[in-house]
Amino acid sequence: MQQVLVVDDSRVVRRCVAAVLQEAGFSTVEAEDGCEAFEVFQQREFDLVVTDIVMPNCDGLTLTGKIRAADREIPIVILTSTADRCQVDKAKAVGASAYLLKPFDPEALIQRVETLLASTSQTA
Amino acid sequence: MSGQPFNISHTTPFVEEVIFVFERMLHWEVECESIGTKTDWTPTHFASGVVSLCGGFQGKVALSFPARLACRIAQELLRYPMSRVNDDVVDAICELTNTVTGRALPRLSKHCTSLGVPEAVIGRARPIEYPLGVSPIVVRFRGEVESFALEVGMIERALAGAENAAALCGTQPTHGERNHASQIF
Repeated sequence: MQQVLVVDDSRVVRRCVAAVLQEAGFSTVEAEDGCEAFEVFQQREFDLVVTDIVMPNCDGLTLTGKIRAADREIPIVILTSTADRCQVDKAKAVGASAYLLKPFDPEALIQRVETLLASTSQTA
Repeated sequence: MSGQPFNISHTTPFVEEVIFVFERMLHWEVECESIGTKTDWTPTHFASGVVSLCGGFQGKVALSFPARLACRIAQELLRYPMSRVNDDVVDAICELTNTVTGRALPRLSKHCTSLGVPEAVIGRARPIEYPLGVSPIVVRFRGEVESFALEVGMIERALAGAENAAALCGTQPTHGERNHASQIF
């Protein structure tokens, strides 16, 4: 079963995202900020990461940069509430693979996750 | 605090995003009931999610709910019963407020505005601290169970100052156009 790391400071969002992914057949691990997420990321193997941006301690863009430095291939999906151009540009620059807006459409999330995982397995 | 008073017409993106976000996240139809201003900073209802803004717009945006409605919202999102305002309820109303604010702000201006991490004000004894001299705009919505309120209290600052402020905040500036798509790239 493919493992997804879900990172958001909101328990509501983590639970909703995890529930959608689990229903689609993925296994999920949750973290509530970038610091906790990176610790977990270093300890376990994941196939994909879904992260918010605005979080206390370590934000999602910093987390994305750290994960990308450690793993050039893993798909990283940004799931946030603002479609701000500066933020989108920063997300691309630090290596995000996709940028989705809250409130998320469950089908769109699953479709994007599956597409990213399929393209990763093809390049592996 | 210097700056242009917030124009009441600027509440339109917030009102539209409240309707959209409630429909998308909760599958609830809500409608705007009334709009006005208030002179005190007492939260309209018992449980309020509050997002601070810094930069092009400075101030606060709040969604304020009666306790029972706040519990019902968390119950809908987390799918288990809630009878009192606990951490999950606080989390749910903060997330709703954050989502509405994050979506509405880029539609208002190309000025950079940073969003703070959302916080909750529980009870009506503690005020929501808007910028000095600001009379918050209050939009009341009629919902599935009870009415709730959107409060917007902010001032608009000049772009140069806004970019400086955003840099000082160290958080994400916002600017852009309306976007109801769920995927940017």
